[in-house]
Amino acid sequence: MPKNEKDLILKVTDLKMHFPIRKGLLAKTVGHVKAVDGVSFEIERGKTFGLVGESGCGKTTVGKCVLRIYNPTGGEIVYNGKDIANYSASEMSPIRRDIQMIFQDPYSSLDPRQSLKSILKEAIVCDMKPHGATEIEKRISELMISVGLDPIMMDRFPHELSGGQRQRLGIARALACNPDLIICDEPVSALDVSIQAQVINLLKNLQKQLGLSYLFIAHDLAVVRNIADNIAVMYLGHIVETMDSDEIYAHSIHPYTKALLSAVPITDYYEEQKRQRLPLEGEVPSPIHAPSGCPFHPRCPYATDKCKEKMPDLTERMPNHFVACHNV
Amino acid sequence: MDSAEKKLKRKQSFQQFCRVFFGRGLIVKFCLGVAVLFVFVAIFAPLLAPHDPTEVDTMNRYAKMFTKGHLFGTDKYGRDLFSRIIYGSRTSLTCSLLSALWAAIVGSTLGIIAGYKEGWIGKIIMRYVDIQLSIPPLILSMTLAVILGSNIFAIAIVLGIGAIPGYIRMAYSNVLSIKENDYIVACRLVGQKTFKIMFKHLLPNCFASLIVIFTMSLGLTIMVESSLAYLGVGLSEPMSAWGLMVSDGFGCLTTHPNVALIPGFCIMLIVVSFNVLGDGLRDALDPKLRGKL
Amino acid sequence: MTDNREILLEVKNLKTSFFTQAGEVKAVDDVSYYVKRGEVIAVVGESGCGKSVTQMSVMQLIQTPPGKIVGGEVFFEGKDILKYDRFSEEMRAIRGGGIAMIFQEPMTSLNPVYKIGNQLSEVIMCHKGLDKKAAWAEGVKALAAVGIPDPEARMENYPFQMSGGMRQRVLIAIAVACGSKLIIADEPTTALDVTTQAQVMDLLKSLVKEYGTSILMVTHNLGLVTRYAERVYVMYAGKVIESGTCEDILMHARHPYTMGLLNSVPRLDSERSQDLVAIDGQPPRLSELPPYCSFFPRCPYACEDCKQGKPELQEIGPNDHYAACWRIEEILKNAEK
Repeated sequence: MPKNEKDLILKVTDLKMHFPIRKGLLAKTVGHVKAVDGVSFEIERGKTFGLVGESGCGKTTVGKCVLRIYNPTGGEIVYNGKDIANYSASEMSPIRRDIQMIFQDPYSSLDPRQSLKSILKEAIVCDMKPHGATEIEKRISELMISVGLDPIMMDRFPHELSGGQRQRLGIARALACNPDLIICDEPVSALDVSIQAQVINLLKNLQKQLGLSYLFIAHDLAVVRNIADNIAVMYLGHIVETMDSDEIYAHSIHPYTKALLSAVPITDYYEEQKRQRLPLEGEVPSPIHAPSGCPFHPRCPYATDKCKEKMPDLTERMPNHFVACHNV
Repeated sequence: MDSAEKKLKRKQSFQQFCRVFFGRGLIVKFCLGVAVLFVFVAIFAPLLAPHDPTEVDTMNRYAKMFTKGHLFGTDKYGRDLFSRIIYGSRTSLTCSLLSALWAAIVGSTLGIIAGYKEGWIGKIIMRYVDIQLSIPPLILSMTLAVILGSNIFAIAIVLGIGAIPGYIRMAYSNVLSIKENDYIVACRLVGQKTFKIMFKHLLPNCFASLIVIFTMSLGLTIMVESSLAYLGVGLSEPMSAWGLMVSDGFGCLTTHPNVALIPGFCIMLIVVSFNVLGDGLRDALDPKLRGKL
Repeated sequence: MTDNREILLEVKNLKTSFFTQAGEVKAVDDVSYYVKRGEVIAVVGESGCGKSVTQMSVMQLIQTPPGKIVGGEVFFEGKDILKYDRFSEEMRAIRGGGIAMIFQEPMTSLNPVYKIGNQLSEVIMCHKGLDKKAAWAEGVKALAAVGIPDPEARMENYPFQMSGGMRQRVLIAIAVACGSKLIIADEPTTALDVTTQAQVMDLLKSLVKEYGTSILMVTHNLGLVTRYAERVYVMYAGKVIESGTCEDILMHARHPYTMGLLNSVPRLDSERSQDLVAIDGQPPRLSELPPYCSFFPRCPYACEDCKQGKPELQEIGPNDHYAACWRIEEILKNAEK
C-alpha cells in the first residue's frame, strides 16, 4: 500500500537518545546510555501505533522524545510535515498542546492539592486565549462527560477517586487541549483487570469520535494487540520487528517476539495447555554495556557469529511486516 | 453558578477547614486562645500596662511576686515585670513573626527555584546555602547586627537571614521529589508557565514541611534574639523584650527566679501555641484530611 | 482421578476487620479455603478485595490496631495456628520455617544495607540452628537451587546490585533453605517483566515437583492462573465468590463476576476488532458495602431478589466447584443450553 506523506501524523526516522554518564568532580562524560538507538516508525492519522517491550528497552524514552520532554541526540521527528526534533522551546510552544500524554501512574499524575475542576480548568485556560467563566464551566462538564465522569464530582479531589476514575480524569486533561496525537504511556498497567477494559474501550471510542492518533506504549502484548493497528517490538533501544497487530499471535518471526509471546499466558485453559514454550534464559543486559551486533544475540537460541558482529537491518519479509534478524 | 450556591459552598469549605483545624481537640482551642491573647496584649500594651516599663524604682528592687502594685514583682532596677512582659510581647512577637515571615518567603522562593531549575541558578543558590551554613550562625548574626543597627526591624532582618538556609534546604529537597511526579510533566505539556508551576503546584505541595520549619523558627528567633541581647549587639536596654529579660534575669536565677522564669514561661507558651496552630493549619490545608469525616 | 494428598493448610471462616473512625471495615469476611501438599492454588481478585489481607491474617502479620482477626480457624499441619500468640515462638517457627511469604516488591523485601549472604544465613541460622559457617554454605546451596548463577559471588552482593528477578529468586531461596512447606506468593511477579515473570513462575513450579512444596499465589493476573494453578478461589469485596479447579473457573465460570472478569481480559489469540466487555462501575469500597450481594451494583444479572441478603457459597458442580450467587440456578440452566 503506497503511502503519501499527507496521511502520516508522525514519522520518526533513526531516532537516537543517548544519555551521558557523568562521573567525578568535573562531571566528565565517561560513557553513554544508549536508551534509544536508531528507531524509525510512522503513525497514520487516526490510527494507533503500539510500542511493546520490557522495562528498560527505551519505549518510554521514545515517547518522551516525541513530546520533546527530552532533546533527542539524533534523528528526525516529523510531526505534520515539520521536523520538530530540534525545535527550541519557543518554536515548540504553538504545537505544544497538540501532542498530549496519558500517564501510567494514576496517583502521581494528578496534583493532590487541586480539585478536579481546577485541574481541567488549568489545561483549558493555558492556551492563552480569552475564556469566559461560563464557557470554561461548560467545557469542563463536557470533558468530564466525554470520559464517563459525572460532572457532579467536579469539586472533589483526586484522592476521593478510584484508580480508574483518576485515569479517566487524566484522559480528560489531555483532551482539554484538543490534541491530534496522544502518547499513552502504559495507561492501563496500574489498573485492575475489569477497569483496564473500561479504559481501553474509552480510548477506542474517543479515537473514533475525535479522530485521534495514539502512540500506545505498553509491556502487555495482549493489551497492545487489542488497541493498536500496528505493533513494533523493542529490545534494548532497537525495534526488532514491526507488523500489523493481527499478525503478532500467529505470524511473528523474530525470536525475541516469539519468546515474549510464549512468556505471556493466555486465559483459555485448553489452548494454554497445548501451547509450546520458548523459555528465555538470562536477563535483559544493561543498556550501558549493550552487546555488539544484534542486541538480542546473547539470549538468542539461533545466534550465529554474524549476529555478534553486525546489527541486522529492519527488512520487509512479508507485506507490512519488518523484521531485524539475520536468520529468518 | 448563582451566588447563593457559591456562598453555600464557601461556607461548607470553611466548616470543613475548621473541623480539621480543631481536629486535635481542646489543645488547639487553648493555643488559639493563647495566641490571640498575646497578639491582643501586644496591640493594646499601653492601655494594659499598669506602669511605664522603663520606670526605675531603686527603692523597690527585686520585689517578690504578688507584691502590691507589682503582680510579677520587679527586676534589678525596680522596673515592674508585669508591664515589661506586656511591652515585651510587642517587640518579641513583631521580631519573631517578621523575621520568620520574611525568611519563609525568601527562603522557600529560592528553594523552589533552585529545585526546579537545576542549572546554574540552582547551583548558585545551593552554594550560597553551603557558604552561609559554614559560618558560625552567632558570629554571622552579630556581624550583621553591628552593621544594620539594633532597632526591631534590623534585628528581624538579621534573625531572618539566619533562618533562610533552613527554608531553602527544605523547599529544595521537597521540590526535587515533587517535580518527578507526572502532574508536573502534564502541566508543562498543556503549556503552563514555569512561574505558575512553581507557585501553584510545587509550593502547595511542600507546604506541610515548610510550616513545620516556620513554627519552629518562631520560637528559635526569640532565643537567638535573647543571645544577641546577651552579647550586647541585639535589642538593648531599656527596651523590653522577652529574650532580653530572660538573659537579664539569668544572673539571679537562684535568688530571684521570677525575673527569668516568667518571660521564659511566656516564650514557652507562645512557641507551643504556634507549633500546635501550625500543625492544625498544615492538616487543614491538606485536601486529603479535609475530605475525611 | 482421586486426589489423596493430605491437606496442609486449612482456613475456616476467617474474618478480619479493620476498626477505623468510620466504623468496622470487614476486609476478610468468612473466607474458607484449603491447600493440599504439593498443590498450587491461586487466589484471584482485584485490588482491595481482601486477598492479601487474608494471607497476612494467616501469618498473623496484620497490624493491630487497627486490624484484628475477629473469627475463624487456621489449621496448619493439623494445628490451629490462630491460637498461638502472634509474638510467640511457635508462630515464629511457622513463619519462614513452615510457611514462607514472598511479596510483590522485591526491592523492599530485602534490607538494602546487608549483603545477600548475611540475610540468607541469618534466617537459616535462626530456623535450623546451624552455626554461621554452615548456614553460609547452606545459603550458597539454596541460591544454586533457585538457579542463580555463580552463587558464591552472589552471596557477597548487596540487594541493589541485583535485578528484580534475581531478588525475587533470593526470597524463594530463603524459603527453600528453611524447608518451608508452603510458599505464599503475594503478587510475586507484578513488578517484573513478562520474560522474567515466566522464569520466576517456572522456578516456583519446579519447587513443587522437587520438594513437594505447596504454593498459594495471590494474583490479579488470570493468565498466570491458567498456566500454573490447579485450583482457584475468586474473591470479591472480602468474600470468596467462586472456587473450583482451574479448568472449571476459566472455562466454565458461573458467577457473574468471574465471567465478567474473564471477558474483560484482552486476549492475544482472539479477534482484534471485537471490543472488550468491561464490567461497569467501580470496585466497591470495603467501608461502604451493602447488606446484600456486594457485586449487585455492577452485576448484569442483578434483580430485586438479589437484595435478600448475602449469598452463601453452594456446590454447583463436581470437583468442588462452588459459587455464591442468588441467581446461580438460572445461570446454570442457561449454561446447559
